[in-house]
Amino acid sequence: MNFFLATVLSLFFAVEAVALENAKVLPQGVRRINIKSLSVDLARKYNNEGDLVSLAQPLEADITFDNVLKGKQGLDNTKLRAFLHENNIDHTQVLGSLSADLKGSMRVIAPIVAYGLTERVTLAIAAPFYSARTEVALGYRANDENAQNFLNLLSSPQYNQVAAAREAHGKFADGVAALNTKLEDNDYQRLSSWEDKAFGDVTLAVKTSIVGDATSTLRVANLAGIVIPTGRLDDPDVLTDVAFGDGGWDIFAGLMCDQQLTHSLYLNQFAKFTYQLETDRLLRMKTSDEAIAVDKARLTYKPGNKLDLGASVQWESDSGLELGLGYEFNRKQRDAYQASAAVRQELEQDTLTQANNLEVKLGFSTIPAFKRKQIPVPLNVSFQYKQVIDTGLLAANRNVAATQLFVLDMNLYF
Amino acid sequence: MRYILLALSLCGCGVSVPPLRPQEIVSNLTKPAWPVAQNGFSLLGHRDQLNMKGSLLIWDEQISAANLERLSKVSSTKKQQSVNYEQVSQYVADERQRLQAALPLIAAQQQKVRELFNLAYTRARAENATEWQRHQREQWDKGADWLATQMTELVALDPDWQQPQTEQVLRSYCEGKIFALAVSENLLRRKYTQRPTAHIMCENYHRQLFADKPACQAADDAQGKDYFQCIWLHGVLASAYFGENYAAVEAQQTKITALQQVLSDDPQSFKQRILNAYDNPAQRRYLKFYQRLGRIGFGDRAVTVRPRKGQAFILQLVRDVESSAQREDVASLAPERRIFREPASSAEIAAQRNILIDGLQAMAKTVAGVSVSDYRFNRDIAVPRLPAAEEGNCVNTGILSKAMEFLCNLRRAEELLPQLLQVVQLPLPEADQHLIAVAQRLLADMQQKHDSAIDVLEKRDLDAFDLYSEALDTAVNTARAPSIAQALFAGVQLRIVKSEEQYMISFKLLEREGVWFTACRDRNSGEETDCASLDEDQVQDSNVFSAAYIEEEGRLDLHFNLQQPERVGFELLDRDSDSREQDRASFCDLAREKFKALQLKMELYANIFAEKLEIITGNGKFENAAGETVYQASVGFERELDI
Repeated sequence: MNFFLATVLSLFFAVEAVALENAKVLPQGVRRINIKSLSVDLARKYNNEGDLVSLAQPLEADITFDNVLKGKQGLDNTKLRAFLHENNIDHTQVLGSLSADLKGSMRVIAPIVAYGLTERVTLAIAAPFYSARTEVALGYRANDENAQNFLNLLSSPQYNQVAAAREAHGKFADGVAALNTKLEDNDYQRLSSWEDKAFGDVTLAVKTSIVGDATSTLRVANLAGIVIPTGRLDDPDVLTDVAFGDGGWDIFAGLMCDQQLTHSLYLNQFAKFTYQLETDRLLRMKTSDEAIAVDKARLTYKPGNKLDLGASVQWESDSGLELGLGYEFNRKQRDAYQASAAVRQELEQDTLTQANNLEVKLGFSTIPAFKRKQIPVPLNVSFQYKQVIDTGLLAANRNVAATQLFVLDMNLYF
Repeated sequence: MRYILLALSLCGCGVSVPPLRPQEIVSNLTKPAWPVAQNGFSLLGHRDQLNMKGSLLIWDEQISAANLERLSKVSSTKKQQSVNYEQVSQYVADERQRLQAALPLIAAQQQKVRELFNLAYTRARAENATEWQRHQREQWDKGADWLATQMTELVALDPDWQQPQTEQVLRSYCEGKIFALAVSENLLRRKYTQRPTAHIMCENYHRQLFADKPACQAADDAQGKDYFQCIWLHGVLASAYFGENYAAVEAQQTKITALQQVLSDDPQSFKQRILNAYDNPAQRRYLKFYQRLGRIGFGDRAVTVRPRKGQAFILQLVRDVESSAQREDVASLAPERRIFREPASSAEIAAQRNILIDGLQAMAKTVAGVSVSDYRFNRDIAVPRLPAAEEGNCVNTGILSKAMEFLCNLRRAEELLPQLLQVVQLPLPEADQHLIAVAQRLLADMQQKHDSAIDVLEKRDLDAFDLYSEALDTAVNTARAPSIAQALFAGVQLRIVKSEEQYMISFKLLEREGVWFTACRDRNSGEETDCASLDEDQVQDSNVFSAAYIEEEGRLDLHFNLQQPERVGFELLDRDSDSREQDRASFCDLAREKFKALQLKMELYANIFAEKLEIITGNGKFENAAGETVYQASVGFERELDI
């Protein structure tokens, strides 16, 4: 039930492929230090049906007798059902409604070090550093008529469950406190702000130019590498935290192609496939009936494989000005958990993600001037903007944050 | 590397989240108040002692919601019927008082008749008093002998009648008549020249009880004497009912011995207590209980043992006799009017049965509570000692309107006065016979109407009681049905005694066995303390039982440490055992080992059901050493009905 997990995992696409791609490699012996600074706010997301909803939607729910019944087991459950039936109270009667607002913000600093091993092979390593913060505000409005009727009946001399009625009053009058109490009773942390900083997964990559060179009108390169699971995992006891990794090793490979259209303009197309290896995680064994009062267990699971496709048009002038416009499609298949059917169904739902992104880039590079011996230091700086968009034509966005990603990209060559 | 990390951290600082939409918590729910505060009622209130009776039910974990709902409904119905019975009893008590308020008017009428009647009687008695006495004695003997003869013949002709059992039923009936007589206002308020008979049909039995008892001998003078001590000491306490049901229990035997002592040494004080009961609606139920025994011969107890053919027949006869308005003189019981001379057809049996009914009716006509001679010649219809009645007292409404109308409009005595005045001038025996006929009819009419009004009240009272009993049986039977409960203790008792210093809380699981586990709490500090005094059947052992009473919440916490479950009463109780007559509704499917080392924690709250019935109900949990609930229980007490 983590409110951010699926949403934020989708950001990894952004971190790894946050810039408009190209098939260029570093000359042999040249090193590059690249610092990417990403900033994103999280407030809304696309749900499994492709609708844009608030991140707090899972919290904005009516509390009904069915919910109360789900929290009671055995004889207590039977007693309540008998009580409701005897007094002609429908299980779907609403006792109160929770309202909520839930937002998050994340900043990622990703230092990437690359080295031109040969004229055609470049090695790179990236170790992103995450800073994330989430905040939640909860509200509640009691359904006075239904709840009071229940309390009055329960405390009536016929049943004389006055102590139980007084306890229920506390829950019905303040559903937020009741929710937090239930969370604490089940070893969760109360719903509150959360903040953390840590390294994410480390990526090692090799980019190999297989067709053409820097002056060719057609350049093709492949990209391959691994992702090492060094990032922070989601804490199953905290519902508002953000995971900085999924805990599994990944192997990825891709192909990218630059087609020079004019002297300064080229078209890039790329495809990348990531195979995520099976791993295990500590998880809550939630089901559709109960998401809170459940045990924890370490489950083996196979994260869904990922496919990234993109195309962009990029303009790099001799003056050093750089412009870019691109489209990127990300898809991750459904995760597969090894658990009972009820748990598996609950855990796997909403794990298929799909996003359509529009990318814009504005940058300045000193490399042309450096080549003209006008500037001693080759570097470039760019500002990139990336937004999940509704295309209306292509595959709908699913289970991803509706984000606007701002990236400051600085490269220094030496 | 250190600088890189520092730089990264600095870059990550100040992550700020966009402002959240403000949220609020809105509720206008009213928190249920503790009943003691809500209703302004206090569990103990002005009382120093509270006795409650109820049940402890250990749920079957697999009980269905439908069964649970059914049990809840019948339990609620039982409480409602209990309340109804309380209300009806109160109503009856009130109506009875209003009815009695009209009695002086009747008494005035009766007095006029009685004066004339006595005039004629004095004349007749003066002429042949001995002959009257002898005549009545003959009727008395004839009635008793006739019944004995009929019984002997019945047994001889029909072995299925099971004479011993039949006689036992009759004996129960006759004992019941003694109970009714013992609490009758006649016995309490007047004197008799001879021992009054509870019922002429029972005289043979009664003679065995009262023979050679000085208190039961005839009065030395015409003023008569008080036979209260005789009837109670040698009748009630000597009855099999007391002997079999109470004497077997040592604690009860002690009380009976004490009662015997009081009745021997100071019977008037005991009598006064019963008289007081007539003026106290709550206590009057004690009288009703004994009166009820008298009405149908130990009532439900005699019937529920499923009497054999002969017993059922006799019981039916007794009821027919008592319900019939037909009258016949004892003198008509000629020896040739035998029944069951020989094996007969069903039609003949029915005819013979009617003959027997006639005979019994004749005996029953001799109203309980007066001796034969008193009845014939000096019967004093109970005149309550109430303030002088006024005409306004006759205004009445409700179910008794017809009876009250009759009583208030009774003018026939005055209408008859001229006739009476005329006949007293006639010579005996002509005048005597005429006068007796007129006076008897008039007195009988008045008495009958009065009794009818009382009967209407009592019937309503008993009907309400029967409905309550039926609801109680239904609740118990529902709880005993399969898949409802693993155990039911139907006679659980609770007693709270308040003194200036402490509360004494006592709990008893089995009605007829075991001891009262008792705990005491200091009223000021709330600390557990030694009880100031304990009865013989009370045990204070804080290792086994502790209790606390929180007055402002009306909350009662009872806690048992079941190291020796059988000591409390938690052990196997057969569902179908007949050996525990009083506790036969109780059962327990769980062996004592199942309770071993568990803690029973009961959290109970006081309330008032239907604004009338004081209850203490709540939940119980049997917990193991790890604090896990092994069994769940429901506990309910109601203020004990005085029945």
